[in-house]
Amino acid sequence: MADLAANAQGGARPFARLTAALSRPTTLAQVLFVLGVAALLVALTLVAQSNLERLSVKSGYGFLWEKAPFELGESLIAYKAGDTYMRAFAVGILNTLKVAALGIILSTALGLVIALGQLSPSSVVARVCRLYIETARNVPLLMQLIFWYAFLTASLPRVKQALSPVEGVYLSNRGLFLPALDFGGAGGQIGLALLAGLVMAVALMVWKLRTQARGNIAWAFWGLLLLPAIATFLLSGATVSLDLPELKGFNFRGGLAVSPEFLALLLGLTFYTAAFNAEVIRGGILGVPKGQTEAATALGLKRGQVMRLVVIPQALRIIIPPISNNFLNLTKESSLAVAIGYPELVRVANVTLAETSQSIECISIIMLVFLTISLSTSLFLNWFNARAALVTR
Amino acid sequence: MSLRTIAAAAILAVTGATAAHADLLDDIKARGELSCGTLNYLPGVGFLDDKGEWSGYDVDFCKAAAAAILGDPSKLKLVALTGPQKFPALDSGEIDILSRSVTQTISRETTLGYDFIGPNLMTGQGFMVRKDSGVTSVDDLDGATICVLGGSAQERYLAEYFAYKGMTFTPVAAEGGDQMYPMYFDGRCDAVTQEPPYMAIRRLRSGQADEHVILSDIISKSYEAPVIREGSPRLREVLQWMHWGMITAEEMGITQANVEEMAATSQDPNVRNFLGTDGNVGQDMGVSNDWMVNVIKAVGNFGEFFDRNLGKNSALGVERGMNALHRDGGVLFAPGWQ
Repeated sequence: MADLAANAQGGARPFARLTAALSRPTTLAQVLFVLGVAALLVALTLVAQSNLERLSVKSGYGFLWEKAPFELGESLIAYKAGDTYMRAFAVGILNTLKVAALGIILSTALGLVIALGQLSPSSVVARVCRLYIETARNVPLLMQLIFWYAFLTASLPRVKQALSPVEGVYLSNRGLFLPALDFGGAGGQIGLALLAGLVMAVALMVWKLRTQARGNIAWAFWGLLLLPAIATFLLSGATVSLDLPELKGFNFRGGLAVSPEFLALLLGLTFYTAAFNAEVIRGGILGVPKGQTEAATALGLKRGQVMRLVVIPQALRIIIPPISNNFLNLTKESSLAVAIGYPELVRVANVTLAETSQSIECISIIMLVFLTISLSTSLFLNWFNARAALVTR
Repeated sequence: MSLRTIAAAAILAVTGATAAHADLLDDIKARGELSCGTLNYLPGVGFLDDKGEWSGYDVDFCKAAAAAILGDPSKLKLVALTGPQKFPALDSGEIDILSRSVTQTISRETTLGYDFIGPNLMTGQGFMVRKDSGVTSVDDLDGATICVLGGSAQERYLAEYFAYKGMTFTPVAAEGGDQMYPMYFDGRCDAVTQEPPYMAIRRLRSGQADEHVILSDIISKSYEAPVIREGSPRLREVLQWMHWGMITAEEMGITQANVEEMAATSQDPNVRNFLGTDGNVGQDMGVSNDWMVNVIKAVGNFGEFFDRNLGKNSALGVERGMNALHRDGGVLFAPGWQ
């Protein structure tokens, strides 16, 4: 009996708390708001479902295993018409990641140069950098992409009259063709070994920074980076040869090809985002108290050393949160490539949509992929930011 | 559900006035003017020039229809429509006939409630290449870079055809014709693919027309036809037989220049019956007996109609190909006129 009474009492208290909370006007409004949003979602789903049934469109993601009847032009993995839609989407996602990764690296490097240029004592350099920032930031990215694309396709020579500054390098309005190293069949394994080496080398650098161990690690760094790849190469017994692009029939064959669509997108994204990055980096540098620079100079450090050893490490704490925002924007804006025909995710989704009429599914795939990319980039940068942030004790 | 009923009721209320009539043919005659939807920016197909003159293949079909029904090609109101506007304009009754390069497909005819006339332009997916490339057939294009409209049916046919032939190509997908053709003319692609008449128009406008050649190979078919709303069987009959009449006139050798003379002097009973000199064919349909004389005076026989707008007498120079009479190797025929 005593137990029962205790239970009843215990049960009554949360209930009383709930009624008390509900009687407050703000809580009631919040509950109503959530219910309203839920009702809207349910209604939208029902309407979409009944409309799809009426149009006799079968919904679901089963089409991903059907054959995709289109070509995509450029791809990091093997793809041809007749492979599955799933594989076509993989091609699109990889192309998006490729341009985003290169764009992030290049726009950060260029942004740093421009930011330092703005802070340079030479007023000419500072003004040129300022002019660049104002121009690049204030012209819509879509216009810049179209400009670069038109510039590359209309002003570069035709494929038969390709510019060739060095033997094996050709530049035409079909793109840039470079010599490539051909490792027979072992290229993939060597690439993986190189990646593993890179992870180890970076781990070594992180360890050095965290333990503040003394000594020069340059040799160990390059060794860790390159040895696995060299070992794989020697063990696989592969031969290395130079694969030169050669004009055969309509186009250059062999070597490494960079299409004008990709180049235009990369240039557009890099120059646009670099302007924003430059401002973020400049803000970060100016945010470091002047006393730090003066103290470092007083210790006899040169201007470059002051930047590298004192100012930039402290500026990073200010820079990382806003610059990660810029990185996410660059990734998302890569979808504008659909205007110039680079086969990234949105273009694959568009042509799939035209073929299968699975519009809701295709759009949801685009959204899911960008959400995943953005959230994982964001998670990584938050983690990195937590590491770099000033630890107050 | 209830929302849909209300919408349906609203549409019925708006269009009810026209739907109540027996046949659109009577409405047009009572109104004394034919309203025809077309386009105004593609020379050779549908074009409004700076003097306010309309011309083109799709426009001429409208003129012929006005001549057939009202006896005068000028009793015509032409309405320029964009792609997304064309079917709503027809549905709402703003236009009587839609003559705007519409592709005839089974779903449009059977589920959307339209009647197609003709078809009056048989074309397909072709290729344009530079003359100095030495390409003479699609099968020479192995390894080529090809400009194509992204997300179009042509993109699919292109990939299917090359896969079927065991050939490779690199596609460059463009968002629309205005992006695609500059890319091709700048040399980004070895070939561009679309329907030949449209390629001919772009070639003409490029200012380098004699450097490019449109291959005669067609890898997929596309039949274009004027459209009316379902539910006017007599209007459909007049327009369909007008289309066949233009073909019949070419078979009989009746032209814009000789039609009046033929009507007055020919002793051939078939010609006399066809031109309404004898018999009552026209009146039985609800138009005048000399209706085909009016049509041929307005736009000529099918050959003249084609050649003036798209063919050898136009700047575009599209070959007749499938659009020639059956006896000349094309697919055009006309049922008997008895």
